[in-house]
Amino acid sequence: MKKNIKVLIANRGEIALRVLRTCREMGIPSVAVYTDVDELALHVSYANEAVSLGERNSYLDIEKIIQAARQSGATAIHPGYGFLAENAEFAKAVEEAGLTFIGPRPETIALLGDKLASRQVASECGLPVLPGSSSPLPLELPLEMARQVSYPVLVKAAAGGGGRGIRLAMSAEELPEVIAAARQEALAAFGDDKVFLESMVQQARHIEVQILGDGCGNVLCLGERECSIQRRRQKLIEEAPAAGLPESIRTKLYEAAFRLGHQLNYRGLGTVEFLLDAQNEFHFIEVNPRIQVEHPVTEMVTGMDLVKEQLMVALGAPLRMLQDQVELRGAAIEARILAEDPAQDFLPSTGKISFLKEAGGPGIRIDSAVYQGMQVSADYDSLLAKIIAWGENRPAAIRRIRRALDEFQIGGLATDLEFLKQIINSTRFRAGNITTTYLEEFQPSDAQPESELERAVALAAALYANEHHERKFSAKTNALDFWQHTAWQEQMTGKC
Amino acid sequence: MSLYYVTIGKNEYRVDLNGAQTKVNGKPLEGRLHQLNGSGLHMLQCEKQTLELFLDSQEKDTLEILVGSRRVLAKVETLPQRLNHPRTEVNNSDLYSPMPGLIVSVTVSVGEHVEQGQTLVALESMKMQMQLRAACNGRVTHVAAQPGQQVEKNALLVRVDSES
Repeated sequence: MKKNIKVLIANRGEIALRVLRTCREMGIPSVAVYTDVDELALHVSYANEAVSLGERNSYLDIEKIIQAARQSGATAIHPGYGFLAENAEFAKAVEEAGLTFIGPRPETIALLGDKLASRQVASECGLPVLPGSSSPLPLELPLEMARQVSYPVLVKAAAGGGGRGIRLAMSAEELPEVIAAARQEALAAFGDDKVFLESMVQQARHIEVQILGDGCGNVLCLGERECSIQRRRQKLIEEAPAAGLPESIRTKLYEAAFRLGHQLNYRGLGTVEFLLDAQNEFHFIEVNPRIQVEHPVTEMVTGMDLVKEQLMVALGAPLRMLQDQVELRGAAIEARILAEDPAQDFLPSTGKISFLKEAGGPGIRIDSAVYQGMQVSADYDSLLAKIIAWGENRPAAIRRIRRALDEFQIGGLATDLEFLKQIINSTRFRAGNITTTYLEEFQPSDAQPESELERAVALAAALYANEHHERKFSAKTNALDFWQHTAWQEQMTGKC
Repeated sequence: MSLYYVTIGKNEYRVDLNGAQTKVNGKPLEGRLHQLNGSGLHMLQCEKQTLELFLDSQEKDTLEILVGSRRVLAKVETLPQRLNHPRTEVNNSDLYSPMPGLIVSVTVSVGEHVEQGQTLVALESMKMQMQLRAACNGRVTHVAAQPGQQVEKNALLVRVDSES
């Protein structure tokens, strides 16, 4: 087992901060990297050291990141999620530079990144794989083949994943057109125009199983998460465990994930994703070879720190527990607060955060990397914060997250907060009766504040305007914000 | 001068701070606003309930108010302001950028006839690509956006003369 590591986090935002927190707890020295846009981001000041990468696309620049590791003396690289996390070339380059890649082996990432190859492996392990093509579609699709397909069918990019690079074809007539569009999109997004067909599951629930391996033949299964609340195939609310899942199905899912983990002699954290149909039959979709955005719900029910486990594996330590020591307790729900405006068809919103008060209290965890006064730019994704609630059972977790969503205040830009509340308050969500198409049918009610409350707000607005009348809404000084932030930063970096 | 017109969404409130009793839409409503810090945090003591509010002046006459997790934009006008600025019809046939981003493509050119809902420009922002569409039928009279160009929020992209 290695004794000393120094970890460079090749990421930004809440996940960079999340990884840094565990490094600090474990006494592991850390290095942040940042682009010009992120000069004032929180992960920069939280790390022991920070290296500038330059222009805004640099989180995707393999050379620059390895150079930053060399320059700072880092010995290991944590990729977080997104950016280079699932890039096998990156993992390979890291290892070739004599550094430790905190994640699966490059070969495993390459295999799982090819969605056709991973279907093949899953199928060899006896996992139920959805009917579909076993090789990439030829450039000219034979008419007969198009007729044999049952519709609707999904056209998926072989190099896609995470809900990206997927298109739906409703009939044989529109299939060629959909394939052409999917090819073009896949080429632009992943540099690879290989596509394949996969049956579409109607009324499906998205259920995924968390696995952890040490790369020496030991694999643990850390329970499942349900992520059926999605918009445009992007997860919005996740929970553990899946509501009302029969024990027999749960056991089968765990066994399937476990078999696949063993087959791959898996190293690090991985998520095996399944669709569960209306008959409770499950189907393998893909494996995500990295930490997930929704990992905190698993941490809440297992009591484990998944980033710590990743770091232990990277240090060469064997797994620290046996499967029967994994205990799942209570229920946890996560909601993603996004800089997107539901009133404008979820258009990304940007601006300076004018006010921020995060929720707290029993059973609540907030993972975020925003602060009052921060400029939210359009350069990166729209995730601002995650609220995670734990309760002794699902209804208790729902009551807690509802309370926390009510407490959470963020100003200066539009967010999906109200929308999240409406979903969680909806009868079907509370009953645990949801599928991946729920949000397509879901009609958010017009968020009309009760009239008495709105009258009081109108009164406050007038009183405020009256008070500030002479100043005529003059620009406020930001001096206080600056000092508050400086004090906070100093506290974080231990300067005082 | 202490008569204000507050517009929240579609609702308008006439708030009269004159006299001993404050009134909202003619009905008495007593309230006192206390400033809690210098950064916009306030407390409104209002009959039975006490509300914690964040108030911040945004552009011109608009206030941003946070009440619990709810975010409200309130337009506050005095009587003269309201008389001087009657509600104007804006020309919304032109296309403006709804947010900062990168122009991916422009699919129309000057002189072209466009239909309502037709995509004019594709804009990328926050890793998402969105299609910006024509608000009405019309003819393109000016194209201000080029592919590859970074644009700011509210930047004019395409000018359309509406046909009604």
